[in-house]
Amino acid sequence: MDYPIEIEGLTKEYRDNIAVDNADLKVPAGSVFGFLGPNGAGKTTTIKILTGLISATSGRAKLFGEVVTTEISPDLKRNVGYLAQEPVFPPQLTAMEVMAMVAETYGLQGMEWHDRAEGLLQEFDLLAAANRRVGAYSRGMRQRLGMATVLLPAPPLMILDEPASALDPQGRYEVLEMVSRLKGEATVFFSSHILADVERVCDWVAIIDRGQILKQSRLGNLLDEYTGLHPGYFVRLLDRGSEAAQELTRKDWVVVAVASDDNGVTVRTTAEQYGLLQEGLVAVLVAKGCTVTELRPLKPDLEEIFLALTAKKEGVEQ
Amino acid sequence: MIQMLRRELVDGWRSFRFPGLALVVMFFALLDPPSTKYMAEILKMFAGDLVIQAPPPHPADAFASFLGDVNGMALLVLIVISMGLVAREKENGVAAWVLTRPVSRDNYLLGKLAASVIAFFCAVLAGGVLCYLYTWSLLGRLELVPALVLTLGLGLYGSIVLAVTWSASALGESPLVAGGWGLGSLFLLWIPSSILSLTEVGRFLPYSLVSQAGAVLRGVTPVADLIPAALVSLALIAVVIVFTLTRFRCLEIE
Repeated sequence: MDYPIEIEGLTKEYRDNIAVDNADLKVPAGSVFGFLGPNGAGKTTTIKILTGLISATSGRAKLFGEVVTTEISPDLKRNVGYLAQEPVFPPQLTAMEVMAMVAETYGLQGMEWHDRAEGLLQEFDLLAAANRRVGAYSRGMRQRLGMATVLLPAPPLMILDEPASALDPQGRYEVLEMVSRLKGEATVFFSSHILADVERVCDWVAIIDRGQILKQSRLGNLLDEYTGLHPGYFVRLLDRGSEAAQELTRKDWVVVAVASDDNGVTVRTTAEQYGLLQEGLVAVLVAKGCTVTELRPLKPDLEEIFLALTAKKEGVEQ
Repeated sequence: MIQMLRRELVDGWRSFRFPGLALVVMFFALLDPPSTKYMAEILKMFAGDLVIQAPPPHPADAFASFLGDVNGMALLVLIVISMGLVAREKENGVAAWVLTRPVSRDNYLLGKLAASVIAFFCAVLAGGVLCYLYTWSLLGRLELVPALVLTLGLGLYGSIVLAVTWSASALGESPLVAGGWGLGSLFLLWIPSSILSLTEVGRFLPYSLVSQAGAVLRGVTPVADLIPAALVSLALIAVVIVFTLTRFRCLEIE
């Protein structure tokens, strides 16, 4: 299956608002797909439709080629692990009993699951509390247990709704590392409003705002595409670098700002003159007697792209 | 469904819902035989100079009293402990967690109903056995078959109330609404029976499973007369189950 998740013209309307508005999305197999948007953008609603908790007003969502409804079959669900934004478990069960229930519903045979469950609880620092009822767990503990329950059956598709939102920095690091390691082994659909998390672990990204998908792309391609947001270059020079580079602005050329530090020199221009800088920068530096050891275009980070995209949408609406 | 049933039994036991129900039933099983036996003496203590002539206590009176008390008080407790069965889990997110595992919506609901029905039957049967033995030791032997059939009949009657409460809990917005439906079902089962009890139709109404207890225990009414009401009760439960499962399949769990 090329696309474990496919969404076509998906719309979810409530009485007074449109939570998801004609969204199209394809999540490639084996990717860690960041589903990015501010709070209230429609991420959780989309995920609830994907998991069969609610139904779409129009359009359709497919998992492994099968259209999802509220009557989604257990066989299809066996291929999907889902972690809710605020995971809740049957409060009278212990963590190990929750893991046993997951193992049983996913059809894990024998006692192999038990060792695996213990390993996961250990990894998420829950083994000492494994026999405590989960009703007494903190939010962070429940989120870690949620990750463990998703990973236990090792389904080919994992849908994680803000999986690190309740964790401390250490827990957050561990969860993101775990997600990173899944790349290529499973498809991970990862919703978040924390751009740094998405940028760190995802290889594909979709940006949703006010129910509309604004962009879907490989993360690398997206960063390349938006290079124009910060037209300029980072240059590393072998000797007398910074003094020579500082002279660039004194000439009547395309450079509008130069900043240097111990690492190198950042040369900025305008979007209109970026092409001229691209063509002429090395020649100018060489003419000044500089030896260029590194030259790379400045790239915006995901946050800047996100803000640019959502600002553009606001502009269109106004 | 076995997984869901087991989970619900554990949940009911650990949250003290099922032991609480059993304790209420046991309380009446222990209360009614001595209170029937000593009722005349108790009344004499408060009567002063009044002469009270009461018929000698019969074992059937003690057991019928037990069934009546369970029908009244224990069914109220049953409504209270089952009104949040699904509604509470929809509110706190447990339903969403369970339903996003490889579990069908039907199995989730049926597991809940089955666990409560089993717990109610176990409580009523255990109470029935206790009351039967206690009655025997205090008042003399009672026919076993009618006592057993009436106990099971009470279990069946309570299961209608349970099924309605469960249905309202699954399809409604809150546990309170479900509790209201449960109480409403008690009245709906009772009102037509009280009007039609002397007609031929009355035999088919579920309430006759509990209203005829005294007559059946004394042998005035044959046990077989309860069969029409039992069949109607089973049919009612089946209708409620089918309706609930059908509606719940397309219900949105927010």
